[in-house]
Amino acid sequence: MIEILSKYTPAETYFILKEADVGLKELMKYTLMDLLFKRVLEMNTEHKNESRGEKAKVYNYVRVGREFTHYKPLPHEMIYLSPYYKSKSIRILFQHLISMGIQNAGSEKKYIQNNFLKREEMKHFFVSSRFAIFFTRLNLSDRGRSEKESLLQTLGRVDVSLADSILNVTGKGRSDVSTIGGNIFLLEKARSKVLQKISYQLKEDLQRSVGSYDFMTWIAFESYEMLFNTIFDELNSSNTGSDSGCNSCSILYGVI
Amino acid sequence: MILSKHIESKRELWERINQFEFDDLDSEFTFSQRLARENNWTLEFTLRVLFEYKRFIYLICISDQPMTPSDSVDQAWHLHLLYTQSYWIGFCKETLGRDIHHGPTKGGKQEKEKHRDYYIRTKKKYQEVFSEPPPEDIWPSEEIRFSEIRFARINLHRNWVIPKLKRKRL
Repeated sequence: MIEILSKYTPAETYFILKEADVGLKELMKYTLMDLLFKRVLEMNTEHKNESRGEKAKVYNYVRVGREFTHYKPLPHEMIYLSPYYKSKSIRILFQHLISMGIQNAGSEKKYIQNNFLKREEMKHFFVSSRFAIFFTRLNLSDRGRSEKESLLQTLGRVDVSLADSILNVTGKGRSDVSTIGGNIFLLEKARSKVLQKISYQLKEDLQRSVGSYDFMTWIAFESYEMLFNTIFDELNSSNTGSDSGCNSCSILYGVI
Repeated sequence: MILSKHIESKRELWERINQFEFDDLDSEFTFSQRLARENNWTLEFTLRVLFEYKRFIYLICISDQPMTPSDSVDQAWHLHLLYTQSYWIGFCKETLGRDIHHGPTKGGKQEKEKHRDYYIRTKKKYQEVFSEPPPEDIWPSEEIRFSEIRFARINLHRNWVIPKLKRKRL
């Protein structure tokens, strides 16, 4: 029964559970977190400007992860993955990746219609009149309602069982985590514990492969969401500042 | 990144170039955003152009012959030259350890031929060094590179830009 969760990415599960009444932000957030979770993408942190005596700034970069090459992307994931398929070695600032994702998605309506509703598994779950489509109002079909119910029940059961067993993620717990994948982000009780465990494991893996990994700047999985929310909201806030004009700075160089 | 074996020894230089950051996160309008806006590019294309610009600069550093960029890469280079502190101090001095000057064409048929040859050579070197062909949308064929060269700065507050109907390419 738990296998039902392996059929959907967290963004898709969320889409069904919320009966399509979702925002672009949540869909984009779960999609990116899932790609990081599946290690299709990988994030690392760098400190810059230390050598110039300035206060160090923290830069988070996203590049392809170890699963990228074998991964078969879903249409709604391409808003993030597209540049990596064109230039596999590119690394992109986390801020830019979100900004690019928003641009590639087009709009909430476009993102939903071109990606979620066109997926074979999904298109029979919703019914809509032409008028309703115009306003992005969709209703669950009978099949959709039944799927939603199954998803809710399974998530609830997994949440309770993982919350009890996760302190030692071995055996069945580990297998469950691997089956439900990024849908872990949708769990209420077990989510935090599972993500702590997985973050720790990821950190260990990176330390093994990279060597001297900077633990002080490590961003745990739980922090991705917060970081995403901050950046997304900043990008969507009104920008009234000026982006024209320039000046000389020769005096500054004289001092240096 | 897969670098060919004879370039492996220069890996450290490539790592330094690849780690170079154009954008100041304290800026509300970053270098990448400006590059995108001034060229009417998507952010995705802009970020890919900047990555290709880094590869181009790397090719210059490891070659003893002149190199010619694609127009998109050249636009990134032009804008970077305007950010003088980033270009001359952060990039040339601290990252590359040498100055790289930009030499515009002097015009005329001979110059066109010369740059055409450089461009072909640059793309060949690219393939040799990075073990993959340069992406066609950023590094177009030499025919396109040296024929589609009429660009203008347009005030978008006062003008519309309407694309011409596509002609069948012969």
